Amino acid sequence: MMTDLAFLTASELAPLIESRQVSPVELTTHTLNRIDQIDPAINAYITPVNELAFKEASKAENEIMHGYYKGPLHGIPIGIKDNFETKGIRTTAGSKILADYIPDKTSTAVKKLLDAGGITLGKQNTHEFAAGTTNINPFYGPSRNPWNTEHMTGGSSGGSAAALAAGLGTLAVGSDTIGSIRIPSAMNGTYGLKPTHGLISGFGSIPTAWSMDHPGPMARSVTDLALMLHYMAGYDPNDPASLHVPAHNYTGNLNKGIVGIRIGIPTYYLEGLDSDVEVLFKQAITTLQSLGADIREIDIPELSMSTFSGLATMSGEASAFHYEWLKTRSEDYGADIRAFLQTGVLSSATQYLKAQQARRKLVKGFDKAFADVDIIAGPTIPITAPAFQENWVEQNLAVESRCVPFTAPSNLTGMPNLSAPMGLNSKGLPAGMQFIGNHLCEKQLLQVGHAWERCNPLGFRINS
Amino acid sequence: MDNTNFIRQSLYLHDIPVYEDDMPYIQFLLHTVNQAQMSLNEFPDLNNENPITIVDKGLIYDD
Repeated sequence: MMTDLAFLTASELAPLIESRQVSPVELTTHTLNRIDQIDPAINAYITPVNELAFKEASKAENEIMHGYYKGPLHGIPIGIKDNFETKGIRTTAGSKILADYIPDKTSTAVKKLLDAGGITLGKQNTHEFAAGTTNINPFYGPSRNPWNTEHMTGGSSGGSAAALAAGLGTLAVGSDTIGSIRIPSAMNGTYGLKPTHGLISGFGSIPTAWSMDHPGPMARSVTDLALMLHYMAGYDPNDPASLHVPAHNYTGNLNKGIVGIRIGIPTYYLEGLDSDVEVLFKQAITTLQSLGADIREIDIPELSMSTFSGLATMSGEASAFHYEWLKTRSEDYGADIRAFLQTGVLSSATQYLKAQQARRKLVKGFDKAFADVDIIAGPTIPITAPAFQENWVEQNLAVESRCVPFTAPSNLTGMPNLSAPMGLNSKGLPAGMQFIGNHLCEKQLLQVGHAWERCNPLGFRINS
Repeated sequence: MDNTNFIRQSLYLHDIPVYEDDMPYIQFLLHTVNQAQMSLNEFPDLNNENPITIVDKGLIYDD
């Protein structure tokens, strides 16, 4: 059976577009029609931009017909998390406060993809101000998990992951402050990469917590993550955290396999797992061994400080950004995010700096581990997507408490982290596995992720 | 630290409105952070670490 165009990956579509077997207008129109038909049940998009998408697709088609093919993203439909500024397009960050905000510039990460020929599908649903992990949004409605719409997508890039899983976009731009790319990737059976801090510019994204924010690619394959990273990475003088590092061909090592690659499993990541997730992770370790990886159980004691350091840093920085609005527009926040921001106000400068001491020690702990292993692996999160509960504020706190210990470490260290599907639980919901690399080791991380992907961890391809 | 009077008075001092319905959530979060902070006790040498601070390399010049 031919896979629906809406479920082909960018790397599969690119040769079809270049050879004019598929036109950007055909692909974009097909995706927009699906959004019109399916998204009322999923709510992946806050602001679709059908007219603009069609205009950009027509332009791309015209360019390609005249022999001007820009490369593998030319004519590919891309969804954008709604905390990235887009010139002339409403950017709400999932908030009431920014409900009517229309930026006069486009964020660097998004602009680079559009300059490469990407087509803007629209702005995707997010937890309010990208500051929560469920994507239950009191202003725009929750995004719903395509695997079971009674379950959450996770967040905060939940609209982006749900769109990928439902065939409502080929690629997506997400952001990750304490797991916001990886949590929804795990819950929706898709792929997400939180790169090294500063590798992708954060200029033009609405801040959640400056030192922990990471823009990153989201997709239905590792190859597509590598393609997106190739275009998104690079120095940006507008972002003080932007790194001066040479450009890489991130697809270069994808087919090299993982024979002899040393993968460390911290004992920390074996604790507190739901039983289904534990079973799937044990199976995954066996599979990685069968692929030739050298699996080693390791101990990183400093991981125990991650929850404190992550919450103290994120709530402190976020409350600083929101301080004036907390005073003047407090009623315009959802209860969960208002409580989180107020907690940041109530925490002390001493706590914040203790968190930064812990953070340096955590980096040292990982550096020590990376002397003995190439990659570190664990379940992305210890759970699968929970069903919606009546008290959504309490549920956000509960999900955050379970997930943050697993996801915060890579935000605190700035080390790259790739989340890939690990399998399905007994209810048919996806679980995720995370691979962590040392700073700027994205190429090797993608290599390992690709080897894992080729094992077909979901057992089938998402295509309907 | 996570008592309601402390929360009310502290927010009041910051001129931030207090919502009584939010109180349990704030208490939960403060309790979570404070509990998690106890993990630092396992590292008595933590004060040997300089905190990570944002030193913007764009602001450092050698003229």
